[in-house]
Amino acid sequence: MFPIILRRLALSIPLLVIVSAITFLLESFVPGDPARTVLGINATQEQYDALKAAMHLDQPVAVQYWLYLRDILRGDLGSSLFTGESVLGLIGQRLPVTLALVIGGTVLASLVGVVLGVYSATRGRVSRRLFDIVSLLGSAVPNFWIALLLVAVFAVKFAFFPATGYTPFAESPGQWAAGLVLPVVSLSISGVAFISKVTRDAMLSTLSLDHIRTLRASGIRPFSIVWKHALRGCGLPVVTTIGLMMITFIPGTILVENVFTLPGLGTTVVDATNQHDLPVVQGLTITFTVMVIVVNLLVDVLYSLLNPKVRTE
Amino acid sequence: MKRRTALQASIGVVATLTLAACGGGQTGSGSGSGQTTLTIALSSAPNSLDPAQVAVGPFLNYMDPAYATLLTRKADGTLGAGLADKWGYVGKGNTKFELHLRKGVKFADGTPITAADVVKSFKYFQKGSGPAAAWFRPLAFSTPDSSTVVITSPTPNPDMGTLFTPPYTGGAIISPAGLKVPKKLASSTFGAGPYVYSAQQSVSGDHYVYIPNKNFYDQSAIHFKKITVRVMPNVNSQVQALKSGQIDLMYGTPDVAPTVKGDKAITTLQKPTTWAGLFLLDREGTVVKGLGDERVRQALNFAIDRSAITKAVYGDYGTPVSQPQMPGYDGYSPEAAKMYPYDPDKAKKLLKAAGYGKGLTIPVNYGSFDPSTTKMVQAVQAQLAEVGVKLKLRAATNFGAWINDLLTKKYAATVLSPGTGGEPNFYAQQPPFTKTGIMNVFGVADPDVDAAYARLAAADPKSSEAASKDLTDVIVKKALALPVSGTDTIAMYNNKLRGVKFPDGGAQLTSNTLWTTR
Repeated sequence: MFPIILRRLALSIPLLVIVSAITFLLESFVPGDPARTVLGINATQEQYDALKAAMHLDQPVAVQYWLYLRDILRGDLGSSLFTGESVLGLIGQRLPVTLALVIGGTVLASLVGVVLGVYSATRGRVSRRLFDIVSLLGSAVPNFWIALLLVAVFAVKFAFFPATGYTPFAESPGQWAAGLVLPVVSLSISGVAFISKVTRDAMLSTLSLDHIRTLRASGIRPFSIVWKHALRGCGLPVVTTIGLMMITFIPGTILVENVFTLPGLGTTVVDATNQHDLPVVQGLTITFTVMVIVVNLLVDVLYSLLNPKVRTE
Repeated sequence: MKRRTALQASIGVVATLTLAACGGGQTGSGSGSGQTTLTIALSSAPNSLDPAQVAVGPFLNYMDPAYATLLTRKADGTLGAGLADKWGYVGKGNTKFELHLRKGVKFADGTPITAADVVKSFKYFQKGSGPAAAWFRPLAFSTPDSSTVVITSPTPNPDMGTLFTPPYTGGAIISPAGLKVPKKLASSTFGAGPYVYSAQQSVSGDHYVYIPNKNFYDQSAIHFKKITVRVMPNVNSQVQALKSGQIDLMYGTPDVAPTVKGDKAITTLQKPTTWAGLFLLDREGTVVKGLGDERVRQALNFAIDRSAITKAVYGDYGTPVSQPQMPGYDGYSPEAAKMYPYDPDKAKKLLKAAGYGKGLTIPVNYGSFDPSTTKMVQAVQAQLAEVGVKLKLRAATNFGAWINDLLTKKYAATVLSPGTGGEPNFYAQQPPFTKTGIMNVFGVADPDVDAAYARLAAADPKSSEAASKDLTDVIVKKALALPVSGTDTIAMYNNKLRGVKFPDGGAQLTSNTLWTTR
């Protein structure tokens, strides 16, 4: 197992360098001048020149990137051009919100999706058709629209949950959970449709296998056959799908956080992009990349646990 | 065993959701009676909490609680006392202004405020790049005694007191403790306002919390246990939060303001704030020769139907204007308002008389980061095309790009995104129209404008109205700009709030520290 993890981690280093270089290069093509953006039109030429030099904007892009990489190796992702805050500190403050959304959405979508998928696979044709329609709707409707609908009904009309905002867990666990219910539900809807479809197909395929027929002939209870024996057989495609879904949830949080005004990485990346706050955009790109690498690593580990063949290859 | 674990997990999820539902709902300050907190929503986090760097407009909501200013603007539009309780010009000529500090005023850290502290704060402000820094840079200061500050301007200024009110932020005095650590000024406050910024309760970029200042000179003016300014980039989310009582006040847009019409719990205020339109920068015809001809510039003004564009772009939240000031503000001229009725035939005749009967092309840069600006400039482009004038538009996707384009001097005209205006004419017209104005990138010297400006600068402040209107008339008659609409600032708040209003002749809401609850 450890060699697999180490190999994956080693491969992720060049990936991070490539992603950060591409982002840096793309940012250099964005029209505009960060120093002007920060200072506005009233600044004197001396103020402008001083800030430009402090930001290394008077150096070639390659030199700027090298200086940036050097700082990263020292654990310094730079500071926000607007607030002067450390980018690392900014990410540290906002990461828990995004993680809560991604993990909460994944758990909810996986639980509901698997249960629905198994239920559909073991019911008649009419139920399956109905399931197909609902599943199609779930994956087709954009999650921001679902989010707005949920807010209008459950926050504004019935006032069950807050319409916006985030309360840290340490401050009030109840309000923390309250603030996350609607965002997590709206994020997970498409995931539920996705997982349930894959689970249903995998379950139908597993249930038609010979060893399941043998189990039925042996008089094992149908509930036990489906939830104990067949479900394990569905593990590989379902785990892969959950991993893929979790990766799509990472950018998905950008919209959901904006609708619910959650102080996560998604709202921060939108603000930073609008403000042309390059160090923050760069830091967040690296963070999102690391999150995708970690999810992929988790999927690989789970995959090798479920399938011993992977470990021996 | 495994089935039992699954059951326990299910119970846990249900319990969490129930707990969540119990803890959710009306968590905002607006709920229930006896409200003692105030929550304001803004679309952006402040660029800085440093008075010398902060952008103005709604960002003042971040400054108001923690930084008392030397003077204030009363609801009737006149200057009011702040940290200074006496003020006025010394002698004639509008160059020397005196401020007397109120007795016993202290910074939030408990140290007394002296005239020397005020001057140190002014000097720090002069070095900043905030919107008002340019006005402070030429000023000199002296302190005849520990509670008097004398400000001397090298050129006359008929409205010097305005510089010490909140929208100009130079009057927000920073304590010596703050000036010792300038880097900290961006993310903490060192003022003398009725509240102090609580970094512990705040999350930068998300919400900013202010709690009462025990050292404020008038404890009866502290109305809230807590003021929170929440950053909510999505204006639709702000509306939902306002409707559900999570926030008390927000700034609306023409898109969302109609959605709260009919909601009896919400009041909407609107007031024209900033003129939107084209700044005709190339008034000597360096890039586009035709723009050097007054008749061409006047033709542009006759060629556009301001009412139609305003209705289409701003709906009920804009006012057609043909001068760089709006009705109800200093320098607004009813005569100038009649100079350019929509008359495309007259526009064509003027263009022909100037030798541009076949038309001309004007390169224009604008900020596409503001959707209304884009719509407005495209509508102007379409109407000018009808008389043969082609606008070649260059969109800048961010503020830095817009400034860069502007400074290249390749663009004969530009469009400013609507910000917060309503400034006195002396301050509003200097940057774009006078010889040394920072927006006058081609450095055009117009003797008539500079003379009218000089007359306004030297006029007796009590009777400067005629000089102010005269300046507007000169700018409009010579068609130095192509104003289209006065855009509204829209404030939407729950009815429990009292004292929320636009001062007469001003476009900024009264300070949030002055609001109270029912």
